[in-house]
Amino acid sequence: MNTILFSTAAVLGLLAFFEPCAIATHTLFAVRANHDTARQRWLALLHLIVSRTILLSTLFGVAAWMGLTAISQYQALVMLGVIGSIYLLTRKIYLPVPHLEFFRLLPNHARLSQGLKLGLTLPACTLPLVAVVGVIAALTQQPVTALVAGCIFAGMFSLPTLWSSVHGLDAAHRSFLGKAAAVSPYITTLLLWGAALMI
Amino acid sequence: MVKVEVFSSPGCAKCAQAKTVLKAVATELGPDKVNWREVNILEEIDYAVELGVMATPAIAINGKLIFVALPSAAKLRGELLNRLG
Repeated sequence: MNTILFSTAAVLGLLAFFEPCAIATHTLFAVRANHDTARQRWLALLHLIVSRTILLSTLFGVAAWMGLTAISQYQALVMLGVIGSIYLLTRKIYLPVPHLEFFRLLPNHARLSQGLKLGLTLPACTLPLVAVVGVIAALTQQPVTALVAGCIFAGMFSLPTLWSSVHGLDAAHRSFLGKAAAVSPYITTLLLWGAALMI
Repeated sequence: MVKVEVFSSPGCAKCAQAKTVLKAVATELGPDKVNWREVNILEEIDYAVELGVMATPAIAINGKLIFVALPSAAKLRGELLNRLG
């Protein structure tokens, strides 16, 4: 179960970056950081990665602490099938689901850095991915393992931003990101449906 | 003439929705009064960063970022009418 949790966190974490509602915000952040001085850039990246790691580790840790004894094959199949269908549906219809902005729970949140705001926000299109990992974390019933899964998800989600912040974005990279944003919901659907079929 | 630029990103369903609704407002005011341009931030990211765009969709009017989030059609109409005098 731990292997499934870690590998799911890694794959879905990376996929989260490429979802259309996340890629623009993160790419803008990365380019801005790339234009900054090295010190400001690393500080911004530190804010992003540390806050995101704390948020996701807490969410998955709480899910594991609350625990889920079992989930039937039918329930898992339906859950993955429905989530996959939602991603497909969003290609045709706009679903007005808000981003979860956890930074608003903090005092003086308007003054927080962009890195902290971004790290403490779960974009709407990544929520189903977080939910899938959350359910697997709950099934492990091991909070420490779930904390590690949170670190992995946060790390993979932030990795492309880190890379772009350090190396900058050339034309080929921009073109790749544009294509990736357009196809990522279909890849997510295929992955989730594939997992449902395997179950 | 007012120049309206809508910043969006590929695959962004919210941006597509915004463009449809808000372009209708610009069209209603007339192409002689409103110059409408759609900007793909991944193609013009340096320009988007220069204007201070943090997320999509965002709207700049006459080269200044005015709406950092999606405005209602009434709000955009009001802003444009205000600038057109």
